[in-house]
Amino acid sequence: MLPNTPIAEAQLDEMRDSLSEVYKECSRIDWDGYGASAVTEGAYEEALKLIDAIIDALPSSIPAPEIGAEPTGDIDFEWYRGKGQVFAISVGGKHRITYAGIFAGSKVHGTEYFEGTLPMTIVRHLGRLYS
Amino acid sequence: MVQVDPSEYLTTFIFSKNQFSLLNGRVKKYAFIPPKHRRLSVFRISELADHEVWEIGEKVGILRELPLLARADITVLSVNNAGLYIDADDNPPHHANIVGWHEKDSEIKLKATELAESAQLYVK
Repeated sequence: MLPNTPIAEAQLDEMRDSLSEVYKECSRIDWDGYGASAVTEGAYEEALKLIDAIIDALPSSIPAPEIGAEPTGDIDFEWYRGKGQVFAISVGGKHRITYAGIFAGSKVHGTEYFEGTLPMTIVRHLGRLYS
Repeated sequence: MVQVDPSEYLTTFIFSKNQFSLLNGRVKKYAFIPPKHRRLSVFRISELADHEVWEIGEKVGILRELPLLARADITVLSVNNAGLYIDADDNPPHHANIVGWHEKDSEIKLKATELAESAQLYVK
């Protein structure tokens, strides 16, 4: 179990600002030139909830993720520690977190139900990335 | 299907700043997540000079009405190592698609991550 120390306020604001910027850029069809789906308001709202869940669950020793949009219209949160060490989760407004990660050769992927609390599977994988 | 040598280089053109990181000089996985029809557009570039590759990218950008920002180069071997393969249709010339994607979203996400880790970013 990771110690319960909150991520700094500055990181919270940074994540919300990043999300707003991504939503602004990717809320129209074909934003990538290859037929990408638009990020919906539902995906945006769920991403806001996910930011709160990340703040609640993760210690300050884990940095804030980079936020981006997938061509599917999902909002993605990526933790990149270096070559071959990356873990990402995404939401699309369907109460589901899709995740995938590479940990120096090992690979993981799957989905978890999301209703406001970061699933322990996700917390464990992040702990592994930053161990 | 046209045989494509594993040592060949491919590129995918990037029109969104969401798809690469200037800070880390890396391609992000979004550049390699396929659209709904599960065919990821690439160009075979081993036989082209660098300026010819960029010229193709500019033409694609004009068609898509978006400015060309960068490109991500990758080998056919890296594609094969991710469990995917190349369908070279040569339409337009040098064009191909990365195909063989699983239907599961999380597996697509993982494969796109693997491809991004193998790719080399070139910013225009």
